[in-house]
Amino acid sequence: MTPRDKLRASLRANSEHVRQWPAWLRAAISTAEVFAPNQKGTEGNGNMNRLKIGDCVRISDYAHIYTIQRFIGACAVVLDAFGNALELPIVRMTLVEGNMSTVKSHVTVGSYLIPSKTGWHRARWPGYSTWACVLVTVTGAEASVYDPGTSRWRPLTDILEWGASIEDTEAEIECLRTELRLANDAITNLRAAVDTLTTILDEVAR
Amino acid sequence: MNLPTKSGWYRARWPGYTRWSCVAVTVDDSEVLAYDPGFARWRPASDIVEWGPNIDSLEAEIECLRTELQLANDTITNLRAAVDTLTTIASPDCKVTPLGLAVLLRGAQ
Repeated sequence: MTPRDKLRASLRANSEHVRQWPAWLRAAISTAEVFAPNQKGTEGNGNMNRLKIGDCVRISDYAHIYTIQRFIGACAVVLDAFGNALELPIVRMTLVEGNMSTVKSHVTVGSYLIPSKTGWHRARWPGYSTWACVLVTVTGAEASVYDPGTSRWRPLTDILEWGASIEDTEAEIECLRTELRLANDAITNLRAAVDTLTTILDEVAR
Repeated sequence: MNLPTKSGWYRARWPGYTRWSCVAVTVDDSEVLAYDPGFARWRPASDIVEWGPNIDSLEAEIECLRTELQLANDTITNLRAAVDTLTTIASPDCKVTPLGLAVLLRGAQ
């Protein structure tokens, strides 16, 4: 399979993936008001002249970071951190400083900032500066957030700002602890290797 | 985990539930209260079956772990470079005089 075929296959898979998104998520993505304005440049063709192949971009206010592979009219084919290709509108893109490796920590956010699964999430209600935890339920095309103040379920768009999923945060902590433990084991082994080699060479030097 | 000692959001398990939820806790001089959205009222923290970590602490821990992991990976890179250097010096092809070797070893240590 040539790289071009792989790209086509990836794009087809992505289109299929987007078709499976619940209606509320597709609606939110196509609603201009949920997107933050571009940090650099204004809108429309501003991005066309600014972005180039290899640039790292964010799509509106999502946490994911992509690398531009090629341009197709008003869209660009981008790759995410896992090598998946997507065709996305250039007008929604915001240039990110640095490259994929320097910004990798941001990619660890596992889902779009608008929750797409049931569970507890960090969120900020309108009129509040502090972050709360809210319960989100996603059933088919319906997604809502429970408001304990009024004891009723409300649409996700009533939340001013979304944060991470609590379950994802806990899972990430477990993952980081494991990685850290492995890294510390590697350090112990490497220090022992350095000590051994130094001792051997010390003997030779004498 | 123990009863919360400061106000904030915590993981907690209500009686009769197996799943963990998040509850707002308020702590003042005399009591610790947990907000029960089911009854829209504050209840004594002792009504909670099991307490989990403070949510703000989770976010701080992630930052801390990321920093520690970054430092550990930097250390691994440096140690690998040291092992490579020492292995090269130790190879029979390397023509280093005993005096030069002593200087290099002091640098490696």
